[in-house]
Amino acid sequence: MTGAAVRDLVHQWTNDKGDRIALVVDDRRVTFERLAGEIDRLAMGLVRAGVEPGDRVVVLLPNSVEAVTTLFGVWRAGGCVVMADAESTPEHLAYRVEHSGAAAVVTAAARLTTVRAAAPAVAVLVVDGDEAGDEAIETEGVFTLVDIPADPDWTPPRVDVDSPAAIIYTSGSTGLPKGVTHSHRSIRSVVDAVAHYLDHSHDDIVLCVLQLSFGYGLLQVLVTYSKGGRLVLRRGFGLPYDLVTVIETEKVTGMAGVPTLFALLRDLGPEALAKCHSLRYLTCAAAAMPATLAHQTVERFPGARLFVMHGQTECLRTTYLPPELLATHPTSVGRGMPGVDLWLESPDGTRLADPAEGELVVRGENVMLGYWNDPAATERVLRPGRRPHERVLRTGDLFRTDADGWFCFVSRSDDIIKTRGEKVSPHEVEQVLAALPEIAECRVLGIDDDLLGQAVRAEIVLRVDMTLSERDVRRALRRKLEGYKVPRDIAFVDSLPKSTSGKVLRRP
Amino acid sequence: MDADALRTDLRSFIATNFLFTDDAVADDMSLLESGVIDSTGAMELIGHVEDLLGVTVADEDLVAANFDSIDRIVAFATPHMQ
Repeated sequence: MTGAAVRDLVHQWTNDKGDRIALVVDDRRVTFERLAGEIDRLAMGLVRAGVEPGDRVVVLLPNSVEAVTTLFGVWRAGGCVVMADAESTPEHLAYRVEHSGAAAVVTAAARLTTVRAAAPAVAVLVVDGDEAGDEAIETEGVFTLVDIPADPDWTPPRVDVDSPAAIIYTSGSTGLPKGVTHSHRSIRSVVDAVAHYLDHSHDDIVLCVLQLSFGYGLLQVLVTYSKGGRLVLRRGFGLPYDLVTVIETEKVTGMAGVPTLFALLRDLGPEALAKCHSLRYLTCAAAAMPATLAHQTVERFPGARLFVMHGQTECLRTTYLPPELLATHPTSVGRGMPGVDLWLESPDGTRLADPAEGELVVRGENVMLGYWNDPAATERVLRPGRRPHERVLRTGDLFRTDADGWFCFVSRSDDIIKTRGEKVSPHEVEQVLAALPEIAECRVLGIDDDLLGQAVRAEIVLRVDMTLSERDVRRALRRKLEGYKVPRDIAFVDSLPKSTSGKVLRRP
Repeated sequence: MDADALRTDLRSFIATNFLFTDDAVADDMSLLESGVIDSTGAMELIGHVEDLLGVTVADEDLVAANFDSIDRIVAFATPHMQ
């Protein structure tokens, strides 16, 4: 491990870059010095609310200056952060508070009623209490930052780098969300590896439109600050030309996206895209990038290098494909990032030699500590690594490797559709569909069927003003795929269900 | 089509395509911030307005200031109506 602990990623710059802008959210521009001060006020507020080292703190805030100060503030107070989705329902919030055994919730005044109803027994820290009329809010168990002065001499408690730093709740395909628990060390190892392969520096200005409750969003903040760069944070993708304007006015150099975002930008004309010339890189993870969309993205942003990557919450990041190889390896997500060892295993746990198809297994410091309070689930996927601090994770993701060891994503093991005794990767069918110029987005899923076991169903969103018949779709699929892989049902729909992180959901 | 007809149409389009409850959307409510629509939903809504009015929205008009609420869409679309 190198450099500052994750909790000090902002504070490490206050001496020599204190007056540089660290964070831009809408009209607010915050320097490193100011941000560090606000982080420590937040930490002091948590301590006053009764938070002790090791306590879990649930954060319910949209992307904002306060979300960033709270993230680091929880760490500076010695706590373990649980970033909840900003649009969490009361049930989701109550589950996270209860399951993590949280000592406090941090939120904004507008959500106080929801929080009190969902978690009546825990302390609540309201970050914008100053604006909302302080005394009205400060009742039993509710705290604000109103009379907490900035104190540059405040020193945070010591923290063990191998203790839990963050619990990221992830919805599996079945059952209740699991609390993926990462240590300060595991997060730091990923931050270093990503900053290295993206060649990050203090000159980088990163636009983050992803929720911080999402591992990929969280990494944007941490990677940027690990090198003293600037973060431009937005609540969501918004509308395409608003993004273009932000990229142009803030001179954004890097942006992380999911395929949906790149599909929106792809449809803009050359004049709009020319305004994005400051971009030096784009990254895509979290959902498989269709090869066609990757190719179109490269064409539209000739000045930016596109990094196609793979990761999952349990290990945050595994692979990246060097952008120079995208043309020759259009369906690959690359090879293991620095410090991470990857291989494929058969269902009986035998390590397979390339080329092969099997479950991706990851060994490294980036692997989670385990699922919070769920030793049985942890034991199913984790085993000790060779060195201290590293663990071996069975990802549940099926991959193929070629003879040179380049990895291609096949499917989530759980998503494989079993129809007429044959196995169909929804991802493979989606790749063929996504290559059709009329199609904006699609998903392929298995639906229960008495005769087939599962039947393959495709749901397709057409691009604006485009038409396509079911027959056109079948013909295009049949040219590229075996007959059993061609969906029995093809539906044209207006939209696809998505998670708040923008991923197309896989369940019917 | 006039502004009132557009407003009525938008309320019904949003209710049919994006709302899964009986709650109505206020005409001045931010559709993106409230989570009623996401970015792809917004593009779908814009496509609907284009079809309805027989116009193509220019890239530089694809901004929340024009499309983030029923009121804003009506204000943006009014000059395009015959």
